[in-house]
Amino acid sequence: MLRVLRLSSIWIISLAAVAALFLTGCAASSISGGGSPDYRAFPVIGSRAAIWIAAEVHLMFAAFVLGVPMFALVVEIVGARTKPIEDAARYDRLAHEFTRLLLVAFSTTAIFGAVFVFLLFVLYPRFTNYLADIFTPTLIAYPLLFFGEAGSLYLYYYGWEWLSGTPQRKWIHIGVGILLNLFGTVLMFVANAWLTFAISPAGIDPNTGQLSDQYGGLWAAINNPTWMPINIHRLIANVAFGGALVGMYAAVRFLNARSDEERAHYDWMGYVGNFIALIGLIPLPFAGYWLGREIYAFNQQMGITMMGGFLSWLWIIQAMLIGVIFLSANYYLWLGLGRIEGGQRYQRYIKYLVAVLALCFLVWATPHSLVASLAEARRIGSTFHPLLGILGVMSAKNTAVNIMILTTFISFMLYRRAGKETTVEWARIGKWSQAVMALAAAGVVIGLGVYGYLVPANVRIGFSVYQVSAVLAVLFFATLVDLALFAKARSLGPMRWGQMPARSQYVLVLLAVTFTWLMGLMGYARNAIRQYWHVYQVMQDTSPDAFAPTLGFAARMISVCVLIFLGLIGFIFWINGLTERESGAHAPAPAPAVAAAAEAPAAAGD
Amino acid sequence: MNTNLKVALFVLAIVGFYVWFANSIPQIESRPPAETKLSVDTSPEDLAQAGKEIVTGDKGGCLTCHGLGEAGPRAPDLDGVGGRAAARAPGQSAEEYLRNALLDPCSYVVEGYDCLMGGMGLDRRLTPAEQKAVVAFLESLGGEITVKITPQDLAASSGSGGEGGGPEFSGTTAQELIPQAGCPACHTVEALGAAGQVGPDLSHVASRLAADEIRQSILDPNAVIAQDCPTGPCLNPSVMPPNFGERFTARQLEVVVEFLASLQ
Repeated sequence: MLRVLRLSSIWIISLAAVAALFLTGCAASSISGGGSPDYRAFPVIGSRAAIWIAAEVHLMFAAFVLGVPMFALVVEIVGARTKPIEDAARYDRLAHEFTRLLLVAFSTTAIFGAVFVFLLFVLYPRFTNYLADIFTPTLIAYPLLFFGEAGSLYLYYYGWEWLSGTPQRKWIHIGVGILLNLFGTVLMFVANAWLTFAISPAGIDPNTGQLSDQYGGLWAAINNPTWMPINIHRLIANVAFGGALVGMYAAVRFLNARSDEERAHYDWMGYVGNFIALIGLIPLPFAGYWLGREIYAFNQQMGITMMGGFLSWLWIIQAMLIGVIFLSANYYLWLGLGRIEGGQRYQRYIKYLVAVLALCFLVWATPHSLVASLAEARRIGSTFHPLLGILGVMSAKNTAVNIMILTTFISFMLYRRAGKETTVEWARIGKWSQAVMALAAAGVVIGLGVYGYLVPANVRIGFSVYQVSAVLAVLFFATLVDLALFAKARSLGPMRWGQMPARSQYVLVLLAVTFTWLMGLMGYARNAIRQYWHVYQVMQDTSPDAFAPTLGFAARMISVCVLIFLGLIGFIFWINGLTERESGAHAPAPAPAVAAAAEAPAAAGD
Repeated sequence: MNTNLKVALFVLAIVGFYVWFANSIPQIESRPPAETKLSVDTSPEDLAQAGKEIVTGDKGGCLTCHGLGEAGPRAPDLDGVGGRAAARAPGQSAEEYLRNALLDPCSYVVEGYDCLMGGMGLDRRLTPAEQKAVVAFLESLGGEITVKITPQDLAASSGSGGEGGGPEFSGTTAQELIPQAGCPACHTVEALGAAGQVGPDLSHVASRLAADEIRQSILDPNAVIAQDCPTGPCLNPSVMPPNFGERFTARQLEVVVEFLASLQ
């Protein structure tokens, strides 16, 4: 049955790609044909809800099928470089297990992509024709790239056994994995060009709205001001998203496990997923700031609408969600200390880390410009809250988020060294140097944060670069010191994989759900900043839906999309379980006996 | 309870909490601006009222940054601006100043503030008649309403606003725009083969004026009168049309300014 399902997925993908090509042709012909209405209505739920669900669920699946191959490739490379061979096989099987999930997910992504494109052409023909006119060459290239991705995915999965056995064959297989990721990344970049053009159009004659070589033409339309920031932001976010979903899959399997081996395996898998999600999460705020800066540079008014206008409360929701992510990711690490011999040493620091995270979370969630009526603002005394307003500005928020990242890094460092004892002679100096680095970075971050209140805004904006640089420098240099400190460390005992409380697995579920919901919220933000424009200040939305809905409505729509997505992902996980039973591959790979991190185990007794 | 069911309920609880939270904070809808109905018979008071709706509503979105009766979060208090406007730029009436500041805001930034209005594109977002309504409202804040709607405003407005009915000039380069705007009739511009003798020679205008000064001279020809014209002293007041700020789009104006600023 599953083989039939896989083969049918190839046809579905092919059908979707051909449909896309067909629609491209339709677009080209209808531009000259004219006479079609600007909008059509979708029955019952309306055009807005229909296009919202199709687009968002497609994007979530797209993120999944882009993020998981990155995850699988990284794990496979780690496996290929790991010795002994038993450990290498464990990583290899983990990567293979996740590639299997992709097959069904890939066809689901294609189906939702086709539905989205059909709905666009049916419900918003004028806008879609306009975009097709601007981006014709990319619309022709897109389905071909899709075929490329499908081909490399099938070769990657079905060639797994064939391209193994010798290191040379393994590296050829990894090459196929890189090709798969390249196709996926280019596909995403192309689609991002369409969506970012609507936000920050470029390359067109402002009088006609059509491509003009005078203004840079097609390349300028693609390489518009927000294109590369969104490319980078999405690329990193997909890594984090892929890791979080892998963590959720592992958590559900852990909770359903019937043997210690199974539990140990899925505990390890959950740890690896969470680790990769954290790696992706840490640079995300920086990529977000870059995107925000480009939006301000493109159009100050759009930036102000985004941060200080009707969307200002959205950032409070975002702060709450990111606070949940940071707190739960740290909590998972702290719980993990319990399964490491020697981890108890560090548990006394947790209360301080909690306090710092909670404080930063509160600062980050403090609103600045309240959207208030004139009468309300007068009652308050201004549009800023008299006491809390001071915490709502970027100086405080930048400081808070940088300290949160630093704190998460410290949590990870504690976790990483929990089961080891360094044996180098310079251990004391090494540890002190790490502490000094962390304190110096915190000093720079807080110092510049306070100084930011005393200087004009244009000077203050530049401080965030120094704050970020200080944190990144610590992340880099303290990790280098740590690697040297614990390269030949003595193990304090075996890692007790599987000995995690059930609540730790619910934390992984919480992380995945929150990541998914956050992705939906950011999708709303990205589109709502265009307000009543299909293409900002070029093509006005004149449909009955030409307004940005309330956050409450958006939250309900996002939740519907999240539940559809997670429901389908659950179905895919179930299908994957059937595959295991059919192939008899249900026995999980054993978890590593001794490992304090997702790396080669420490040399015991050195 | 079945583990999968527990996980499903947990997921629903998380999503439910997020929906509750998002519905607990202020709910704001961003509506598209309504079309403002104006005619040549619109009284000054009604014109000011229409302008007020634009300024305080989503169409103008001015109070996102400006204050009205108090300092704004990012831009000056508009209260009393009608009284202050006439004194803001030498040689410009209150109406001229307000219109110019609306369409070319970065040339009229109030001390202590940054220019945040540069990308608003009010020349595209508002019809000429709506722009005048905004000026009328601003004049009414401490001053006298002098602005009037003309048939030309309505003709221009009927095809513009929103998706833009198209500006007066269709060119995108200085070489196209300057002849369309009629500049060669009065000015000499060697680079374009223009040999007008009424206004100052612009062949090397960048050697005596900076880009900002050139922009100011286009938007407000009487701001600074040049001393020498080809046939003698330049006419004072200038006979150059003062409405290029309305006739050029902001981008076209910048193209022309950039070109002239390159003529060393």
